[in-house]
Amino acid sequence: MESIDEFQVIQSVLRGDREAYAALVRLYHGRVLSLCLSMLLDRAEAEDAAQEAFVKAFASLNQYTRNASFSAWLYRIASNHCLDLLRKRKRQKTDSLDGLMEQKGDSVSDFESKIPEKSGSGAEKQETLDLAMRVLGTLPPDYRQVLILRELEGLTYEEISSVLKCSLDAVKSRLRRARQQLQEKARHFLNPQSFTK
Amino acid sequence: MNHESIKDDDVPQGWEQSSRAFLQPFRMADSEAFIQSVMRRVRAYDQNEERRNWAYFARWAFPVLALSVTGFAAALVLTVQPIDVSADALLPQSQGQNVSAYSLSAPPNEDQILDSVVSKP
Repeated sequence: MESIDEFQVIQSVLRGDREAYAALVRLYHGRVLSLCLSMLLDRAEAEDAAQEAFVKAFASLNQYTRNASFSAWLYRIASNHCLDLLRKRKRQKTDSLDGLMEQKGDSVSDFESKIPEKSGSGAEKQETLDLAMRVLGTLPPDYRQVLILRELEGLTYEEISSVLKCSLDAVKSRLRRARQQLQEKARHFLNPQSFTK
Repeated sequence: MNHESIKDDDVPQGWEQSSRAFLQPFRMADSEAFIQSVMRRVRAYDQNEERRNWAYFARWAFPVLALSVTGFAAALVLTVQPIDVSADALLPQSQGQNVSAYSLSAPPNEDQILDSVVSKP
């Protein structure tokens, strides 16, 4: 991770140097976008939501205190914004897993071989992401949220509890259930031998 | 408390594989276009904010100013009465002087002049 003094950057922005905000956007945009995408499961909507979250953070930057890390504060804004959008959307339309199996056929059974280690063509990556979105879409938004914050962003339990505004125990139990549910779904796609390794 | 160790105990068997398959694809690459887009929105927000502040100020300031002017005018009308400069109004102030209201309001006739001369000691 790039090393910048976040607080100093924030102070500069608050003093009127709004261009300094780009440093914070550069540092966190990938992670905020990942969070939004995992919650909204739509690339275009996620990009828009992530941008909006950054603008909201900019607008309320004077309310940021050093009690929590800036990343946790930013994730909270992004996460609340996504939850608002989901509420507006009323119901997340996700195909049933059976439908997905029927529709994708071989490509799903061959899914494991397509999981990119690091490289992979753009089209393959997109296909992998599409499938991951559809599988993750079968989980409730709060489970997706906690999984991404923990597994992808590497936040500590304390940071997650600060983002989600809930207790540590709630974070732990939610994360446990989320992992179990995702693992259940994963059994349909991944080689069963993977689970006995 | 070490929460990291709790996490390690909690992961189901084969979790790493599932995480790699279904969560890692969400890792987004850096995008300069995204950053520029955010900054454009931030600049637009900043400019709109200035306009909004002015509009907010104007929305309250003008009615308040109009109300103040109206109130001041009303107070002026109610407190400052027009000065009555008629002779009748001046009479009470001229009681010590040797001028009668009658003589001021109309010129005395001859009898009145005569009377006033005769009545003087």
